[in-house]
Amino acid sequence: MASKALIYIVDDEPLQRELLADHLGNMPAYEIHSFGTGEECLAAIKVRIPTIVFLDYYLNSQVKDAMDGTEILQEIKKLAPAIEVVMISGQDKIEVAVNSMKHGAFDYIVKGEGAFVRAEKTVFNIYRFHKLTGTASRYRTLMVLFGIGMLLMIILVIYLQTHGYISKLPGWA
Amino acid sequence: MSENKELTDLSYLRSLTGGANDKMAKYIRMFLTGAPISLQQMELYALSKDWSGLKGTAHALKPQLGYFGAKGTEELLKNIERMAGDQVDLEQIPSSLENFKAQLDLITVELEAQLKALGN
Repeated sequence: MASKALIYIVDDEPLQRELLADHLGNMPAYEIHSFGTGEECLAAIKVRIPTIVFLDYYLNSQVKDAMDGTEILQEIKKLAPAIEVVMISGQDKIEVAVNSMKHGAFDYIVKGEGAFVRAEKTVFNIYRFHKLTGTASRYRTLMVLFGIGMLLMIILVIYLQTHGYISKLPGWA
Repeated sequence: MSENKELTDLSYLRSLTGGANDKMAKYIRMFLTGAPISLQQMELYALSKDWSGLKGTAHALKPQLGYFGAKGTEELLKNIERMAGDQVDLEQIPSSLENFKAQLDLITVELEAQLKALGN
């Protein structure tokens, strides 16, 4: 049986965390784990690397000196650059979104009624993105192998030609 | 004179949960547990003039009110967040918090009635 892809959710608000975890938990291909602080999430990443992290922008409403979302995002990217991080915040300021993307976030979702459907779509987009990049990578490998094959063939023909093997072949005159 | 209009509207939550009563009850209980703590934190932050703390807590609680359809109260909290964040109209914060507390009391009564109606 194929193992489920892992999603981590980081939000300091238990209700927000639960709502998102329950919503994404409806997707059978994903295993969801949630954390109240970014520090807990970083510790979990060191044990098991997820495919996606949904990360709240402000994380200090419960623990005053907790690292904020941008700091956690940078730490995640240092630990495992392949993890796709989706920032979530009640902030709809464009500079917050731009800052998140600049630090490598895959997407930015504003909390509110549409956020859960948007989160689900983002998971699908990440899956599609990974599938496309995987296909592109396979094509690239195939093209390189084809090029090497052609080059070897040309070298072989030149070798046979210069050593007179081709002219000795029947029908070659 | 207008009728007593409810502050909450659970239609969004109902659609999000697909009408699952157990999930709705769970979310209501979580809100009823968390919101008074957040209010207490905000009052303490306001007393100690910790505007950043007040802004953070208001910011975190704000979307939750939206999920329960309490749009007016969400707006009130948004205003508190703005005043604390931009440090403007600070003299209005105590009265805004009082207003918020009164609305949260009404919301609590409404949600407790909903919990009963959900069979919890």
